[in-house]
Amino acid sequence: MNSEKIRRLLSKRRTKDLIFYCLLLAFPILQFCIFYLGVNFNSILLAFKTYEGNDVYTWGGTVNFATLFESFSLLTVYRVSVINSLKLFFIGTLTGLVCGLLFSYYIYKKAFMRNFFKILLFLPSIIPTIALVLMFKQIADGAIPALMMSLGITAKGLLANPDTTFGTIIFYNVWVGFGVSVLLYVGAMEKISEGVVEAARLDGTRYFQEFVYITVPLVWDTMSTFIIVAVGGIFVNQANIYAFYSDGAEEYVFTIGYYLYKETVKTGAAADYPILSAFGILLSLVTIPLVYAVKYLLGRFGPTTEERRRKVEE
Amino acid sequence: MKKIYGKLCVLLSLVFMIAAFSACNREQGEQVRADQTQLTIGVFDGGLGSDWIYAIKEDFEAKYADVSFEEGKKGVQLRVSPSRSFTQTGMEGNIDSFREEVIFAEGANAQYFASRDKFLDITDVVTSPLNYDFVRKQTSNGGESVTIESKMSATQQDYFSAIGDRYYALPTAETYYCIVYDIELFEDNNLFFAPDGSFVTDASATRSDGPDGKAETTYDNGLPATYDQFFALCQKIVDLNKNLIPVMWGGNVQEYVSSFMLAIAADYAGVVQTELNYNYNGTMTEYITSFDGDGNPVISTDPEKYVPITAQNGYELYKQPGRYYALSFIERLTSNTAYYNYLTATSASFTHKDAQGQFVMSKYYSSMQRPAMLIDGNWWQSEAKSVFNELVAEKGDSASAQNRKFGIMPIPKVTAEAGDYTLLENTGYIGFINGNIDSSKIDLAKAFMQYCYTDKALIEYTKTTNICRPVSYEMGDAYDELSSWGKTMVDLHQNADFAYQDSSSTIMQNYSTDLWYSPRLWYSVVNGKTYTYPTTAMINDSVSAKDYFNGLSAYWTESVWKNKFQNV
Repeated sequence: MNSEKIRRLLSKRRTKDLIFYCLLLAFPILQFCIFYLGVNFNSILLAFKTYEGNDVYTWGGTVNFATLFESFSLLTVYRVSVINSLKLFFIGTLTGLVCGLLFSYYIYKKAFMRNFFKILLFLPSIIPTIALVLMFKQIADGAIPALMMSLGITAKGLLANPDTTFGTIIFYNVWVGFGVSVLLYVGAMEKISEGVVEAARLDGTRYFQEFVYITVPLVWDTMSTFIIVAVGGIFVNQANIYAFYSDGAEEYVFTIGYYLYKETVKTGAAADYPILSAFGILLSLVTIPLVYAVKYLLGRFGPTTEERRRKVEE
Repeated sequence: MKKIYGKLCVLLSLVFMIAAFSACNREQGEQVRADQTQLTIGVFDGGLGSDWIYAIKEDFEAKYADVSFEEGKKGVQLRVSPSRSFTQTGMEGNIDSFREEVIFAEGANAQYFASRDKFLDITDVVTSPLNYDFVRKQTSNGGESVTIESKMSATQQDYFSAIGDRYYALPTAETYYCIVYDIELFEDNNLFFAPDGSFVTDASATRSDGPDGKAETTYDNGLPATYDQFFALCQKIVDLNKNLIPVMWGGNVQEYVSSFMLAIAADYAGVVQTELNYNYNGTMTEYITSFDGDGNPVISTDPEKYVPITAQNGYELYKQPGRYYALSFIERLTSNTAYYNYLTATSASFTHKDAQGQFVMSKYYSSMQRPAMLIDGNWWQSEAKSVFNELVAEKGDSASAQNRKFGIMPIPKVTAEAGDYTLLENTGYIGFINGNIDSSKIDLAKAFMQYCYTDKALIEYTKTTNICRPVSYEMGDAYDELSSWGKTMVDLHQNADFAYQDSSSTIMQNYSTDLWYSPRLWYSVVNGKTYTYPTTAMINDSVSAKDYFNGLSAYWTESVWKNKFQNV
């Protein structure tokens, strides 16, 4: 076979490969163009338009932003929603992170009934949200007051009592988020070199020390990802409140994500789209730098896996 | 062990696959009759159900049994397709793909879809005599010679023909929020009022004339005429010490109570003043200016101080006295935890169906607290069908919806001044022909739509659902066949005034949910906190009616209103 023939054959194969790659990528790229670029581009445009009726929008300049800034001082909903979103983020992320890591470590160390806990923690992730919320409501507002009653204590349910409503919602969200986080943390922990752990053991390291000085640093990248994703979702996390209350929640449990969601999906929301789009842009302006700042800080001050591994090995 | 897990996984996957495929293959409802033309009727799968279509189906099919609509086929088969998609949200963007030819939807805005050419023009159906046959193109000698239009009120005619003087949809259900009461419980415990204002001493004793002050309208006789009497009744129920709850509602549907409060406000204000809240075109003649030293509202009725209402100043309507009286009614109700289901009244796990179940079943189960009254929609009895069926299976026919005695408690008046009832009819119950209908079925669909509004079909509708269609018709002898609940529905249909939420005003068309959906109509700022539901504010934080009322105007300031409702 002469070199000309080989070159032609390779070129033919390259063309076929190219066609294959193009076809493979065409669908996701098309999806990205329509459902990300198209939708977001339209929503950015909407922020600068006003609704005239019958699906007609006209150019309105920055009027929606002016209205929005005025509304911030007129309505309590924005303040309450921001506070709740931040509460949900800090408490939810912190609790989720700490408990997720501890449970994962327990499973990773192949402790007693680890598989049972693994299934138990992952179960909420595979049950449909509505069914799970329904069950949770029955427990929080049905079973718990009944249990208290049988002990001679008259008490309202955890969701019915306004003092515990939002806390209960945070708990629910942490609980349903466990499955995914535990799965990922365990996956990351199982990648830790057996040699490193054994060496630490020979040096007399106890479980707590192993967890703090070896495990956590070596799953730091996974933790960082969770934190960054949580920061990115601060203002879009509707915390399953819609599943709990549909669009009729009391304002004291609103998060920004819930507020935006319920206003967008309500019947005949077309007239509100411009102002909601403007709000979305403002939130993006806050979130995007925040995400990059957190990403930078986690990278700057957190131990990188390589560094940590090197230190441990030394 | 791993092998067992593997086998188990395969087995489970197979079970799920078989279940999924069998669901895909299943025909909805009855078998398709291949030798007939099918007309698919979509019905919102909610409280009212679709039994009413089955009640008229046979008759309509028989009417066209000998007509061929498609080659090789003779006759028609009505196929009922219940779905929860037949709402505004479910239909927006999806209606073009719906295969149902005629649809009865809930919570849908007729003008929204009509203006986007999604509904078929049915002007001929509405304006032709009912004895005109759209299939055979002829008018019969018998039958009804009136039109559907003539059965509609002037307000309905205006609303449904607002787009180019053409009709695209029809109103389908007369629904409103109310208090349901257990007549048997009232009779057994002498809970009716005597003419002198005391309670009757036996079930056959003469009763008071009720809130309307008319002895001849027997459906409200003996019922509390004023707020004071209503709460005296609640107290008497508590004092009986028989494990009774005066009033109950579903804790996870606070909007039911909020909607009921709108009904209270409407009954106080009357049709014209109530409809201002939807058409934003008229004059507000009565409003609260302040509260006196005793906490009583100071109401302005001075004609020189009337307030013209437009879409620009709708916030002024939050000063209407009816709202305050509705709040004061709920304040008095929630001020005593024995008057209502305190422990479940705000519980997210206690649904309206749970409340209905307890209301219906507690007569037979002494361990259950028995509610004397229930706040719900007037369609509740259809919704509670399965509960009644269970009871019939267990306790016999006397426990059926037909034989149990329930009545509507007309809203008591603020003062002893008697007056007619104004009911606030819910919006969004509409019937229409899908705009994407195959041309070969248009006449058939029109014939069915028309048939639904014949007296015969209207009577069947009421007999099946125990509520009325919002058009005028007489029940005749069929009235006696109705359950006691159905009878009161007909009584009120004939005697009450109806205020409509439907309006073609620009503000209502662009912002309908914000203006008719009750949770959005009771926003109130009290001590810097915004409440959605008066009930939770009063139960959880002991907010007074006066503070809540003032909070309505504190929320809906001119700036907030103008920021919210733009280009109206």
